[in-house]
Amino acid sequence: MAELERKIIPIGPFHPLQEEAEYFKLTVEGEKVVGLDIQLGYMHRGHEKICEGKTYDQIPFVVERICGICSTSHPFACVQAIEDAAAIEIPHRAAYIRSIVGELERIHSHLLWVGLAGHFLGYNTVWMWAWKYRESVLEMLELITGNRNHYAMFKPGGVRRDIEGGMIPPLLQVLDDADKKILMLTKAVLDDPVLHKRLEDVGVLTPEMAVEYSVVGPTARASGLAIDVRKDDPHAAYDWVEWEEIVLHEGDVFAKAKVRLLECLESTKIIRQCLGKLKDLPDGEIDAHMERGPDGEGVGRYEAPRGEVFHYVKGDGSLYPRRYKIRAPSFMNIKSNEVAVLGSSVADAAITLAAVDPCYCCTERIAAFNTKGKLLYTWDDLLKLSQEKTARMGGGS
Amino acid sequence: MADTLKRSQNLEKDGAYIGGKGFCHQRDSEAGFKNIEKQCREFYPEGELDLVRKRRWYWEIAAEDLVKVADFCFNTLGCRFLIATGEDIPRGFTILYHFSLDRLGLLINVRVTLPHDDPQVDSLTVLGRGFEWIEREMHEILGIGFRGLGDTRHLLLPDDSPDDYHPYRRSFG
Amino acid sequence: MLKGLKKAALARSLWIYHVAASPCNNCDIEILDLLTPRFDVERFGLLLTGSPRHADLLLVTGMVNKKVLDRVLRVYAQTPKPCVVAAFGSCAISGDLFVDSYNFAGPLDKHIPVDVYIGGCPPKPEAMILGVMRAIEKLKKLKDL
Repeated sequence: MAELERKIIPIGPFHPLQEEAEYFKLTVEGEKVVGLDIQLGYMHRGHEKICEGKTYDQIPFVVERICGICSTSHPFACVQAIEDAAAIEIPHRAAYIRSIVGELERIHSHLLWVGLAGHFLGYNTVWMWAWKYRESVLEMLELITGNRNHYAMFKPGGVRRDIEGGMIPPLLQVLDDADKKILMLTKAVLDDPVLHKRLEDVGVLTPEMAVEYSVVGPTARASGLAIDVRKDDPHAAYDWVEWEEIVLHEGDVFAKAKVRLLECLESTKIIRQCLGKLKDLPDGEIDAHMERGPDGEGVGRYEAPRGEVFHYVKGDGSLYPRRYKIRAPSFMNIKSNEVAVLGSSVADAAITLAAVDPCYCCTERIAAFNTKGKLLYTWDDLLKLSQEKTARMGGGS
Repeated sequence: MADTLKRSQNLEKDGAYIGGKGFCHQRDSEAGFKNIEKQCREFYPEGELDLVRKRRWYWEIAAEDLVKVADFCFNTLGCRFLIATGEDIPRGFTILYHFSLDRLGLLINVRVTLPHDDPQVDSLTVLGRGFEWIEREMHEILGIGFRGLGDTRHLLLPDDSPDDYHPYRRSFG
Repeated sequence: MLKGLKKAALARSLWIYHVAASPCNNCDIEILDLLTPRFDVERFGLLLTGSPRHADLLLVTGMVNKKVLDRVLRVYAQTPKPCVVAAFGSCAISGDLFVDSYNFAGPLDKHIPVDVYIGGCPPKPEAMILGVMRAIEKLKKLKDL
């Protein structure tokens, strides 16, 4: 009996052509994926070392540019770490504003993922709709912070800009509108029978594996681990408003999508409550005015859209940190793909790898070869395989 | 693998991790914190446990006891591993392993110190695969050796970096 | 007559290949944003292509780190000339705050000739459209139309 040929399908940077250092290397037997090897380094810019040479008020700007999608999550964790090291409390107003900006970013990031996932599956309408609704969220962020991305809102001790009373009614209006649209999108996605067939039981991460790989964020919450830094280690205004943590048990791609969509609805709840409380708070301080660098160690964490972001700072009383450590959530989540993608077919590989919501650029570096170095599938081919599978099942548009 | 299963079953009974609604946050429970502190001190009395803040503890341990203490944190207490921070300081290399006990919101930071001339420590990949990447990273940026780490390929730096290229050492550049 | 046909063909559709050389993804998401209904540049005939061999315009984002440098050079070599290279975002133009990094391999124009600089962190969509218009003008001049 002929042995099933083991092929290696590397999914690597810059598409086609050659022998390139691969990014994701899938080992395939017939149509099933039996192994995954991941290579990093294309994005390594040396942030931690750069931070050692910057003052504490410059560091939030540096860490903001770690990732453009969860661009406020890193400054959030950063200022928490510095405040933890210096043992200072921030004013209430600043806490509410931080939560508002953080949750707006969560909505925009989840909608971005839903759009990309729709594109990978062949639902280009979902992509266009999700990104169109995302625009209203970006407009709100521009109204509050001055920029669509990279908000420069956070500083150790508080925030840099206030949300004035006059801004709140238009914000609430846009929020109501966004709420309706997100609810409609959620129902459309979760009720689609083809998406159920396509995504259920695909890319399953069991609870045991989730614990072993120490995954975080929606990836963990979809596998039954009830971890959310906003609940576990409360900071900013998360303990002062009512909201639910979304936890599911199936661990498949459908569960991950459901967690993200339902989280968007919880986020609008949080923002609405924070805006209400802000309206009732008298105008006041938004900054605790840190006067000197912290002397000691501090840890800050925040629940970014992708999971827990962790920053550690060690100060010696001067204006510059001695050591700065950054851990983005994808560092733990991407590795879990090693087990999640096992047993999937090649057509499901694209959506499984994207389900942990890695940076967009990570998914760009995907191509496929066989063991002899001959090109088998480019990223476009893998996308097409995925989209064709959906079409065969009767879905897509 | 068997350990992970046993651990997650213990946690489930405890209501700590798995279960969603069953998860119970005990972060305001003084008794909860006292209990964990007692367990830590009884398990490893030689260590220096510094309760810097209510939810931020720093634990200095000897490098040769790392696997024992990490196993206690990860499996017995049921902490989640966050990441490890390596640093080059005058008296040697320190590695700070960050563990999070989510139901209390507690961070237990375990610190080991290694000598400058031959920094070697046991790899924690015996406890799980989640430790592999950060050990590879510390191996290449600081030059620390991890005994038992199977995969020592470059993780972040270019593959053709020279063997003595360790950007996070104080002697670099 | 052929010249007129070429002119018409080029004015219709510009194929863009996006090169991600260690960006933070913000610029990349904003590029994708241009394709969505609010800005919708596809009505101008702008297309993102999957291969540099079909590209008229190379849009490079990111600060170019050492690991990614030779891939960028290889992609540039494969793109049929004449082509226009656009450095997109402050990182590609000058390295932004990463100039001090040990992994920094120099701003983009140190390695390949850059024709259009689109500044911003990230550039606003309006700036991107203006940048692409400049690129189209330059390309027309290069191809002698």
